[in-house]
Amino acid sequence: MSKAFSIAGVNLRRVFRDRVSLFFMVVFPFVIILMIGAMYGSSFEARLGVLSRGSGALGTDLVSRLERHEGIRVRAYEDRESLTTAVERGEVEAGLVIPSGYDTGVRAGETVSLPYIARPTGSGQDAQLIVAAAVDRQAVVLRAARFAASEGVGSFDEALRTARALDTAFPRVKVRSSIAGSSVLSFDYGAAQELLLFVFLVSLAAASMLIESRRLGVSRRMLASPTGAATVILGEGLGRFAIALFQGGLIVAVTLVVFGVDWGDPLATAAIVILFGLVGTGAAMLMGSTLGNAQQAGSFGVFFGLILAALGGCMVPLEIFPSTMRTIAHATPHAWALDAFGEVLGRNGTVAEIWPQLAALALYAAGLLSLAAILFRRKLTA
Amino acid sequence: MLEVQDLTKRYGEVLALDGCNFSVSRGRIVGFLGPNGAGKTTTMRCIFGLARPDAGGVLWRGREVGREERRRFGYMPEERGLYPRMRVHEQLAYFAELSGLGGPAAAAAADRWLERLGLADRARSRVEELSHGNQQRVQLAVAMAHGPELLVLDEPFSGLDPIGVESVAGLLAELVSEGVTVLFSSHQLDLVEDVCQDVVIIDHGRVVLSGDVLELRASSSRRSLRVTVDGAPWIPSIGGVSVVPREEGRPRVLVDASTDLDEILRLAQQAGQVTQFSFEPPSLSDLFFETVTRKGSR
Repeated sequence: MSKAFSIAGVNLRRVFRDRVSLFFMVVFPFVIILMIGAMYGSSFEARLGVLSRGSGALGTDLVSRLERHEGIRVRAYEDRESLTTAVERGEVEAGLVIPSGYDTGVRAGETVSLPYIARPTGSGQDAQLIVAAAVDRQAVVLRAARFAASEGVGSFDEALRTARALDTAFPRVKVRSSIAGSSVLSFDYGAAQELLLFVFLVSLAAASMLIESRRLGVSRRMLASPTGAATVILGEGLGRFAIALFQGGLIVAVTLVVFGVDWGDPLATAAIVILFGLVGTGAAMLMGSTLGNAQQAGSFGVFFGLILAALGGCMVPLEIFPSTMRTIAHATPHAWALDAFGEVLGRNGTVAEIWPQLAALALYAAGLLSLAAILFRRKLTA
Repeated sequence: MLEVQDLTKRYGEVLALDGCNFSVSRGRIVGFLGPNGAGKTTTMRCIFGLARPDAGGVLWRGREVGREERRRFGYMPEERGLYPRMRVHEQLAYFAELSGLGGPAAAAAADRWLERLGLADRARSRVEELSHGNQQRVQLAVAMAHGPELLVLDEPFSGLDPIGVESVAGLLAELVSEGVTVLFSSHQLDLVEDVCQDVVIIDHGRVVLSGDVLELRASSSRRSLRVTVDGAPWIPSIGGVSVVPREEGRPRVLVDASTDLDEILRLAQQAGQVTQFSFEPPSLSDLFFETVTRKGSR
């Protein structure tokens, strides 16, 4: 075993000396996850473009209601054309036109329509709900003022002032929502997908280092020393497994701290990361034992890494796969790991609940590592 | 003693070893010769378990070679087997550890070998930063660091300049004087003749000649004859003469050992003034070409 640790130590030092590889192994995936997290994981404010020129006092009141609303950022536009262009270009998620004469029309009790422009996809639809809520809220105050004025309390403006004062004084009823079960669209699940994608891809990069050892004759020297093929594979794999674990741990820690991802039971999450890291290491050792050169390993690594990730549900959630595809997906270790994460993240699962998935991952790891050792020996001692 | 017994190895249609048989005595330096594809590297790999023979085996001191025996062997593969970007001391200590030394003992062995090779000041250099000759010395040191009794080297002189050759040859001679047994392959026949005590010549997977270099030369039925008449090479017109084709500038012939020297000298003197007349056992190179060509043309 001490030989395996020596080999692992040298392997790690070789990795750390190659700064470019180190960047792509550790920093690059990390940056990608941070970017994705920043896009989907942090609190999101929809940008709403508003054209309110000549809309009068009530138009201004509606704009200030929108500005006070959580989850929306208002940007003013001077004409309809520039507002429409801004929506088309994605500079704002949606545009609201408060027509000139809005104040007069509303006071006169006329029906006033507010054109709302949104892109066919994205969060413009969500922003519409906020706009509708603000309009409803203003309408409540206006109806109260009109009723008071009709009852002879005073003029409409006096009644409006009173209604506004009462509006802020009355307690409000708020709907507080929470989510039950895992959502495939949440960043928690997305973080798990990204973790699996990158841990596997980065692990596969180890194949080229094993091929280099073979090409340089270092592997032959090792076997001649004499060191068993299984020990060489174990040692070569251990170093890379340590990197996979470090990477997985870093992704968990950063997404937890920065984006508040709830990784559930730490023991269960650790078990998934450890076993999946072993699977990735086993796959890398298998490639390193069979492929002819580092270029092949680079191409095959990216190809298989992405194909397996896509098939295994790391790009499109497994939950929206057709049932046949979901069955096929479970030929990949990714699908088993995602199932386990789904249980841990969404239903507070523990190791006891995810043992079938963990067993599947352990089988993958053992099978790949054993096959790698056999083929490695066969390749060098034919 | 290392005994290679009837090794047979086939790669698909190619018969790489065809009952290869030879032995290497303790404390001897043995040149392992043969044309490309003769089976030298395969034989070396069989010694280290890096190739599985279809038949035959390898013995060390009368016992079949296994993991325990291989701990006493040192090997330098033809691909050289070092990480170019790894530091010299680290590399030496690493392989010494893999060969069974503990961490501190491996580090001490690395220090000792770097000192011995005059490379102590390059301990922290990367291997790729060393000259070719020094890289070769480090490769040798890696094979030697754990103190093996048998050293097997695949083309250790390949690519070295004369100074590098001299340096590595000197090191091998030192090791042999310390009781280490050395078996190395090479294509440099003159060098092998200078450095080796014994030689094994292999062709088409079979040993075609082996033994003490001096004895093999002396026991040959042929002799090398070089005669210069009036400053120009002279070739006698007698039967059984073969011109050595590799030395066009200074022709030399091989004749039967029983050739009548007086008769040749008389013929030369008839041709002019004899300024050089040498008659000696054939060189290793002559033996090699005679043997390999003869066997190869069967």
